[in-house]
Amino acid sequence: MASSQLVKVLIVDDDNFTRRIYKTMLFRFCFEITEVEDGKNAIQQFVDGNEYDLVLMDKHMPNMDGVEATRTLRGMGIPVKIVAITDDASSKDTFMDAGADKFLLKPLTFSMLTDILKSFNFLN
Amino acid sequence: MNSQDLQNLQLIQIALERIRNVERPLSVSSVSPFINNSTILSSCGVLCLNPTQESINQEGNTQREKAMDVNMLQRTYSDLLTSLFREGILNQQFTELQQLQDENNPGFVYEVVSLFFEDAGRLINELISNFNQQAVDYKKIDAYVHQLKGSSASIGAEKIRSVCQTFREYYDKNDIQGCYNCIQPLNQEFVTFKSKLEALFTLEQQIVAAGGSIPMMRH
Repeated sequence: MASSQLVKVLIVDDDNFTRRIYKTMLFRFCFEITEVEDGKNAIQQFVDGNEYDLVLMDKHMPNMDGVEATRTLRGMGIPVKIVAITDDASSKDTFMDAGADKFLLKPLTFSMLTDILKSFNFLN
Repeated sequence: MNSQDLQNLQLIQIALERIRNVERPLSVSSVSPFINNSTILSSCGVLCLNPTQESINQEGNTQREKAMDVNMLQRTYSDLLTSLFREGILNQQFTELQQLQDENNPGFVYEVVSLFFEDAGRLINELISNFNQQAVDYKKIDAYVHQLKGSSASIGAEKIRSVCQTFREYYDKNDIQGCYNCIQPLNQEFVTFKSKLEALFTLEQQIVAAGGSIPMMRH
């Protein structure tokens, strides 16, 4: 867990609309939320020394897509929980091979998110 | 007839004159300076309403009218929302968004749908503009449609999402004519979606202004 009891979430999606919806869902749990627009900025967050408990990772993004970002984070030894959320069902195996912990198809619903958070014990 | 009777008669005549000159029933307060005998008053046909009762009745009528207005608005809202689901313009994802709206996020649905109007409007304009170029950049167009498909799916704009899906199927088969044929329906679905959701939000504002609450639909 990141240092402090507050769950820290990084939202990685190039669509500000999608990020807005995820933020509203996550605010229900009083989590600390950061958002970035692509995989490259996601990597930079960790390079800058930031710690997160959970990453919600989109696939198709400019500069660096979600699969590459996931692979890079695992290559850096970052143990954060990564949940791939995309409408590209065919990318599941690629994401899981890159090191994602879970794979979900868009659109994300509140109950899907709650199930994921429970499975990671973030709702205790 | 004694002098007292004469005096009473004169008072009654004044009271009757007042009654003839007003449209509403007179209250005691308006005739009591002249007559304070309830028997005489009732014989003049003056409704013996005390001021408090009269204002309570008026207040009750106003509240009943307001309640009827709110009910009517709520019914209109429910009917419109039901029709949007029945026609396939909205899907269950929209209900998910409504459920995210609470006292901490009171305008959440309006905010995200307004964002969608802006984003989708821009994307569709880009699509149309790109298709009108001499050298069409289909990769760029596919990227726009991909983005539009994602955002429409996120808010439950089912028909828009569906046309985007059809476009991408044509794109995957390199069917350029098929792609092109999707643009006009896409624009039309967006225009329809926008006008109907704007009507829905207008009704919401009217319901809230009338003191009512927004009906929640379960689908």
